[in-house]
Amino acid sequence: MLFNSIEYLVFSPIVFLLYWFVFNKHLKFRNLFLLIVSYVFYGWWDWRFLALIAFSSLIDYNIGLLLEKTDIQKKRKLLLYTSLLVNLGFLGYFKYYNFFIDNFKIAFESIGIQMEVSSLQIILPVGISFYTFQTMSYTIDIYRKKLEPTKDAIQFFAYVSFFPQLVAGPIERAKNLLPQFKEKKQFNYDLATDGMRQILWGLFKKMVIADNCAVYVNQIFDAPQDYNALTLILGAVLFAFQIYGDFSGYSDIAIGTAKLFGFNLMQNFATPYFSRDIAEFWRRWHISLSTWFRDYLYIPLGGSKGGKWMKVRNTFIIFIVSGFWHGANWTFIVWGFLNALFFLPLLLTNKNRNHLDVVAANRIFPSLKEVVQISFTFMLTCFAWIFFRAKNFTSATDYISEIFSLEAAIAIKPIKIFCVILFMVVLEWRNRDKTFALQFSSSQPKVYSRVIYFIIVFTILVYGKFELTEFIYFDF
Amino acid sequence: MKIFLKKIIIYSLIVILFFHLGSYILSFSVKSRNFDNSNLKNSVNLFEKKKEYDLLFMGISHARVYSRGGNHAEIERILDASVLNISKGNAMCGLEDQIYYFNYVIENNIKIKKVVLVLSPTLFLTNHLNYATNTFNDEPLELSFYFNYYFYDAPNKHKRLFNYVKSKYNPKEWIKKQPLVKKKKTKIIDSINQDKLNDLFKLYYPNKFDGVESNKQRLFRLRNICRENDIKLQIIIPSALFGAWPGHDLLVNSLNEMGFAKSVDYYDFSRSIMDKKYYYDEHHLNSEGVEYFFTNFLETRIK
Repeated sequence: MLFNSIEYLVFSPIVFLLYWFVFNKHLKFRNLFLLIVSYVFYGWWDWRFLALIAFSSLIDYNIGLLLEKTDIQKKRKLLLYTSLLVNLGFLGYFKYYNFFIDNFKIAFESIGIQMEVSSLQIILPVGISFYTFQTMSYTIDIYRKKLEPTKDAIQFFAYVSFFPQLVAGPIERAKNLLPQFKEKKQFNYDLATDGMRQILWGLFKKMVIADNCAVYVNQIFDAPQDYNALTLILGAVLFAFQIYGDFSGYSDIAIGTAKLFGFNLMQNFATPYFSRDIAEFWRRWHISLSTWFRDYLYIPLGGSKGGKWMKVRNTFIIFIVSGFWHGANWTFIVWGFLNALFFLPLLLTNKNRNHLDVVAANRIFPSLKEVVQISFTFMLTCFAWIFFRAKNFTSATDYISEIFSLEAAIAIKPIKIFCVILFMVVLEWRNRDKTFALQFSSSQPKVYSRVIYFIIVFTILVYGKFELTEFIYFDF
Repeated sequence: MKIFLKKIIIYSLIVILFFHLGSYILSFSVKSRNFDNSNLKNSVNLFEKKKEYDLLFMGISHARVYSRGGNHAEIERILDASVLNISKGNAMCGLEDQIYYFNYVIENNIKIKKVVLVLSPTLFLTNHLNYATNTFNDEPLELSFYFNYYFYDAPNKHKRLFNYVKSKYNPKEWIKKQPLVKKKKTKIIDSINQDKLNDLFKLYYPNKFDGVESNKQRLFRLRNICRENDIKLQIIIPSALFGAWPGHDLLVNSLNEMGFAKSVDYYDFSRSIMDKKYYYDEHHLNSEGVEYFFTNFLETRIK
């Protein structure tokens, strides 16, 4: 079920009312209810893959309990590896099997060996990369003795499948989310209204920004040879806003929905395009994934404790793996590699933690230096996004070479979309110290926020795309 | 919780109200621009409604061309009859909503003597047109039309109604809408382009002949409505430069099975005009073609 579908428009109020008026009285029933509706939400897309989530949950639930019972290191390691094997095995099979087979074939054929293995017709289960990472983090945290396993199976299954964040995150840690399934909930008016605002903002970013940008982006990326250099640059910029609107929009809807049920999910985006360098960008973009890789890959590899070369090696590993997490395609690996390259000068000069605060704090406008820094960082990300968006590596390089060709070609001037992007940027800039753009401070007159809501609702109704379009990150 | 729910309901109602009100106001300004049945591209409700018409044409673009470009006055002259054309082109309307329009005309106490359904094969054989969600995008928002449709049973009804209201905010397609210039379509097709034709068939039959059974039921309904209101119903299969459309035989057999008598209740004109000078593309008559068709084939048969 998609957040921007009519089915969800019917599903969510029913679930909301049943949750608060019927099932919230008893903790066990409430969690069971959340589990059932989450499975309905997921099964609406393809019920067959419910077995996969259930199996993954079952394995990690039991491994968590077994880990608690033993202190024998060998046994603990074996249990941990079992969990990793199952989760990464599923992920590997459904997401990466064909990629490896195809590339092995090409590699062997290049040295004259013919392989008789053919790729498979595999459907990628929606959200598999998200929920496997979530369950893995649970087991790893128990293994590290940072977390106590839950003894309530329903609680754990509900945590893994919690419908607002099941298919595209944020990738929640058990430490944050699981305890929330253990507590009784009282309806919190402020939290719920905050959730509604965040849902509204998410819908705006998805239906107005992302889906309208997609029209131009698809047109330009499908035939880059037809367009002039400026339009191709524009295509990359629009894709930057498309992917931001799409993914951060989804996260906002997910976080907002969770708030309606009294749950707090982690912030996943923090105005990343206002970053002054690429390190800051990665602290603000897809935060739940970046911190996951930091905690479960970068630090175990030694993090930044070793020498310079170890830092460099770890940085490249984490970025390339992060790229590969997004999809089984060389373009994602190159995208990760490029980000590592951009990150490298900051790492080598120890400037990667220069900008930990919000840009232009306590000021209305940024300084000239900040404008230059933000623009440069945005330019770098846009360049890398070309690889992320392109069908394959050759298409990406063709796209870039077309930018430098001087042949006369068509130009596109998407004025309307730039107006709404500007509106979004201004609102996000004004509230860049908040978790999302529609959190107005109490000092601002109420009429101001009401007018903004009205504009947003109307822009969604009039300019939003209501044809069903999947969220890009569903594919990851 | 009560306050939260109350506010959600109140705000939702305010938004819905303003959304419709804006659409209604925008409809009002466009409606006053001297539209009549001959200067519309795909609108049906945008003209002064008379009390009585001799003929009502239903169908898709193959029937809409009878009125476009000043043809409307010409066919009224040839037939010596007043004509209302509710057919709709641009893949915007299927048989289901054509019947709705027809019902709406009757409910508005507009007297019709005879209905001519221009049954293009795609209109009968496929279902995709019944699912079009832009059917009412070119119509002004009229509350009676809106609410009547709200209680009508049609596929994709809610999406269609939503787009009906939403489309009035479109500056290019609605706010700037002006009556079409009554200029005759004199363009003549050079030759049949087979590649284009193959693409066309894919476009017209996206799911092969998936609409036969459901459209048979719709035709029965149309026939019943006509009988109940003492209106004669006649079906014509329009001509095409390439002759018969794919599925043509299936269409004819279905009509026969349903008890429509050939050359009485329905006429098959699919191969009747094979001269390219009467077409502006492979299957649409130009102004000369419309005049030729009405003078030589239709005048005596539908009068």
